[in-house]
Amino acid sequence: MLMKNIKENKIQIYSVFFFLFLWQIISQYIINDPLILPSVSDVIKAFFELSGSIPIDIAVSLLHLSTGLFFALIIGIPIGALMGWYRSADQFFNPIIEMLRPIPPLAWIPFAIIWFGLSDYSAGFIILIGALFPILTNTYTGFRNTPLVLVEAAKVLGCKKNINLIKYIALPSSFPYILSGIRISIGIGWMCVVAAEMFGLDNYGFGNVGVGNMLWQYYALHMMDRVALYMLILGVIGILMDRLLKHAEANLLKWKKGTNIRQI
Amino acid sequence: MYQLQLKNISKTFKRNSKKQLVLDNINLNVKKSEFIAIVGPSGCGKTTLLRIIMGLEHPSKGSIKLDDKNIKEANSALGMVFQEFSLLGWRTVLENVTFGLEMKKLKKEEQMKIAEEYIRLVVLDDFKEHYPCELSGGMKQRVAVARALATNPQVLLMDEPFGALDAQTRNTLQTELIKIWRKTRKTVIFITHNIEEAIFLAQRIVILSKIPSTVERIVENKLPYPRDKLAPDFIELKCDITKHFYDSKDK
Repeated sequence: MLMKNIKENKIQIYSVFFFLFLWQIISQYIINDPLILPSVSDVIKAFFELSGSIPIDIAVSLLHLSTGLFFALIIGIPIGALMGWYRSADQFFNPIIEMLRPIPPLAWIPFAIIWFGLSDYSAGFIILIGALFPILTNTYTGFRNTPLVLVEAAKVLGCKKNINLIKYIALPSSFPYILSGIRISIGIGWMCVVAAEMFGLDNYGFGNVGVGNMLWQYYALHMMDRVALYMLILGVIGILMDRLLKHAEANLLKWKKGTNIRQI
Repeated sequence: MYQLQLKNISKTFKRNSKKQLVLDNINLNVKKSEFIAIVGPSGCGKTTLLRIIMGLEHPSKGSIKLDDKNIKEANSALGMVFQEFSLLGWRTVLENVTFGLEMKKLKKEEQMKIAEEYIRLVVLDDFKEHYPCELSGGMKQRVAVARALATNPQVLLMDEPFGALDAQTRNTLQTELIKIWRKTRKTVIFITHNIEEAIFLAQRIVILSKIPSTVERIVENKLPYPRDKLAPDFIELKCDITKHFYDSKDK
């Protein structure tokens, strides 16, 4: 089983090693200046120096992410659902959303600080801005793609009220869209962590921590090996979350199996 | 006397500000437990007529009475099987069949009892826990029949339910449908463009003209059940109706 896994992922494993090898060669023999490009070995060294505090940084950043994501879900799913189901809601919300959507999360930082101070809430708020739109538009798309024949079949079987048609038909039928919306939202929210933690935050009482936060602190000290380390942590946690969610998605959507194309 | 009465049904569709008359003054009376087939050239408004009976669409003129009461919207006294596959993909076979019973707020045990009975009726006992994506087209339509019957409607409306199936599966399902009909004594209104299918199934065959549709002819089919598609009188009836079909198309 393990051997089979290794065999199947051979190309992926080679690709990681190739990337690290290339990085080491370039940094060590071509650039040879750890300020401009720290080498892999510098970063590994930094990892062992900081390994005690890294878990708490990750935990705090994940806490920020969950705060933002939580609000993105409780705002995004209902609004997306209403817009998908009711034409008037679509017309009402659409201009507002289309206007707010192009504003990058970074641009919200000044207001986040004015509204929430230098707190974990402002970090959560920035992540909320980043995570809100994918989940909202995906829910909307899911609702719009609800097959008419399913809605009519439900009506014929006595499911007639809008609230019940949404609950029993549109929502479960949109579930695949909503799930992939959540996955995209988590990805984008995680990318916003660095911006969200740009300023020192201390609400949970852990002191100045968080992956994004530490990245900026070590940048101020020009310790670029540590900056690179925190960048890598962002990347690795990001890919782990994505893999986990894809796995969960496949399990939750067993009823859809075999209806999509297979990669060649 | 009649269970279902269609009176002067007309339907006009508006498309790009052009009005098109699809159904023109259709009258039909259906007795309880009768098996009626409606045939007609494709695009003649058969499906529209069925959707009007179901209450999914409103007639421009005319009225529909079920046991002398007017029907305005989807009514639980009527069940429907659609031409497209219409199972809820996220529910198992069993959960699809219980859906209408859940809407009626029946007790869980009662739902199970009824659902299992109808799943047995369509011979899918071994597939109760399967999801629709794991079933063949024929099985999906059997589940749709079981689901429609589970809520115990008085009239079952079927809109070319076997149209998307291969000939062999189609034959099997036709035979099974007759068995189910004779067992449950439901009134069935069955839409098809296949004359042979109509003769095999129905006691009366309503032939619609091409658009704007009127009832062109109603054929009484007295052949005894179970019918044999190769019997001489079956073929004779088929020739008769087919000839009529082409004659009217030439006009």
